[in-house]
Amino acid sequence: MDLIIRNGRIVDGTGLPAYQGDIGIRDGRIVSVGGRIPGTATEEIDAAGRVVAPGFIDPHTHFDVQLLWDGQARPALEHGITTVVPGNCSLSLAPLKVEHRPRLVGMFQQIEEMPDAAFDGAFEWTWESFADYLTALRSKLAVNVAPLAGHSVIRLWVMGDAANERAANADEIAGMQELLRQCLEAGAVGLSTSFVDVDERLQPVPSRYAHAEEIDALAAVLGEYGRMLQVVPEFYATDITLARVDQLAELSLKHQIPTTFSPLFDSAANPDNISRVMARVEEQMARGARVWPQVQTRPIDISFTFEVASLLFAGTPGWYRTMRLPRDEKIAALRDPERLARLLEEAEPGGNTDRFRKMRVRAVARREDDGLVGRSLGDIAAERDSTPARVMVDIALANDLDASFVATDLGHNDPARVGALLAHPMVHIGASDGGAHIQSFATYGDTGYLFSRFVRERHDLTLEAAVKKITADTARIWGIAGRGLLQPGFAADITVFDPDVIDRGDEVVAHDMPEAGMRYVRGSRGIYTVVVNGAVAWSAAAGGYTEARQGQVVTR
Amino acid sequence: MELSRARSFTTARPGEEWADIARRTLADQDPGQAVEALQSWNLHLFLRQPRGRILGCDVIFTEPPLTDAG
Ligand SMILES: [Zn+2]
Repeated sequence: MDLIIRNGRIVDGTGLPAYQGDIGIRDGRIVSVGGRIPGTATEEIDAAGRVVAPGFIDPHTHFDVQLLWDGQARPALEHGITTVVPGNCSLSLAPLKVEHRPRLVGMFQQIEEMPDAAFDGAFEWTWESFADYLTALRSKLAVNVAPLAGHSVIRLWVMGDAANERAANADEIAGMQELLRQCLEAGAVGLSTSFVDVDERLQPVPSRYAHAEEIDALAAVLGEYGRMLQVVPEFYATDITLARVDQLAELSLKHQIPTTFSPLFDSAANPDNISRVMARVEEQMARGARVWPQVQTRPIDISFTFEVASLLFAGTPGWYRTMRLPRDEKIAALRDPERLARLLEEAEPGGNTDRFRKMRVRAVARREDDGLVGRSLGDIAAERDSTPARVMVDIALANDLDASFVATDLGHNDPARVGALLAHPMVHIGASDGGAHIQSFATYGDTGYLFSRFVRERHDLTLEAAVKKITADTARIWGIAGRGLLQPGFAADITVFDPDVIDRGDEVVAHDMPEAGMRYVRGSRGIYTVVVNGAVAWSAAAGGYTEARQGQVVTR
Repeated sequence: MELSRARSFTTARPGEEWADIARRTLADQDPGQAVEALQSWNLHLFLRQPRGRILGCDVIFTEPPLTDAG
């Protein structure tokens, strides 16, 4: 044996009760589960008092770019994630012609809030086809990858500029079908599309110009392979989401494919949303359709500065336009009393301060403002006889824009409601957006939060049920064969953790991007060892990340 | 298995504009009023620029929101 994990509490992914036993691994696969394994192995891990579970699978990520310079998808791996699905939301790095690269970078920056630094010089752009992209990835991977192909880039490849203008004709639809077929042959786990996103010019992404006929034709190709269709629905409007559930159900039944939509959020502003959407999902699932709503575990917290245009300002176009100005012009605009008055009226119409009142100061550059950190803008405004939005501008200007703020009451934050939703058998736990929005919030640690908040603290799910949700269920939903269970013959993707400690760490600023770009991250707590295809890829005892690069494209 | 009643919707066919969709889905109504009604049920398409532009993937409701009794 290459590796034996001894005396662990085995939570095998089936949802059945945990039990004591050893796990033996040879040539990257599990060869023995339970019982006492005689003899010794090249490497042994004592897991006494700890849970031994299948590695976690994150079905909604945007690690496409990061994986090219960081095959460990940091910090996802240290949270016990052994497989990620990149290429969500209609965007993937392939298939992509050389001349369309700037367009894709623009879309990634706009939709996923990925800064220039993530693309500029951080990797060598060697591919056009999906197969060649996977070749560029393979040698670097420490995590496994189940990549989606993006509808917007497939459309761009076949239609060029017309992808953003019109319906596809029959030849173009056939061209997209053939291209998707090539992606699936090369190892794509499915197709992603978006019904809501806009590009860097604030124009709809190419996938939104697709008529029903085009989507049906692409779903037919997915049907040839039984592969996944992922969509971003109009999650802010229940009636439209319900229509999307019905559309996906029809595609699922007609082409016999799994579908998933993400995100599905709970929000106090729209309290009926999840009950109405889940009622429709239940009806459609009862017909044999596969329509999996993806629900994230973490509440929605968004951090922002005045340096970049956060999507938080999407609802206030004047602010959004101002935030997109070059730095000097932005400062000039905020210092101009007339323009500022217009912005303040937009932010606080008729003196209604709801939008910014509860937001808090997260960090400041100036020493003398240290006392403001952690306080709400409403609180500071009352003290200064000002308004929250004006106070926010004052603090930003006083700190030469080097001040950050955080909104923590944006929804999905009622633990009882979210806990019940996560436990629902037809809810697919995911939607982390790992690797995206890196300057707005940390998209890591959702699995730790699932265990700390909803298993340990609230008991919405048992330990076994929570593990099943993010391992075996995910593998089954996505058609990822041979993973997600601790079972002989399965790939040795294994996470060892302390169920009394596992959690997400605090959200902190890191400068670990190319060119020292900034992002928000969270470390893990209570994770001991993460094994990918039989190799220890992360180990608390060994000081963290190892040299192992055993990650695979799991669909091949 | 019977599905419970849901708010009816359609999507545009290539080249279709509001009048075409109104004619197709609300054939028994006065054309002018039909367009007006259709647009009033789809205000989400008027929050964008250009206002009321129809994209291929858009959900277009062909009736008002269902009441609780519906
Ligand atoms: Zn996404």
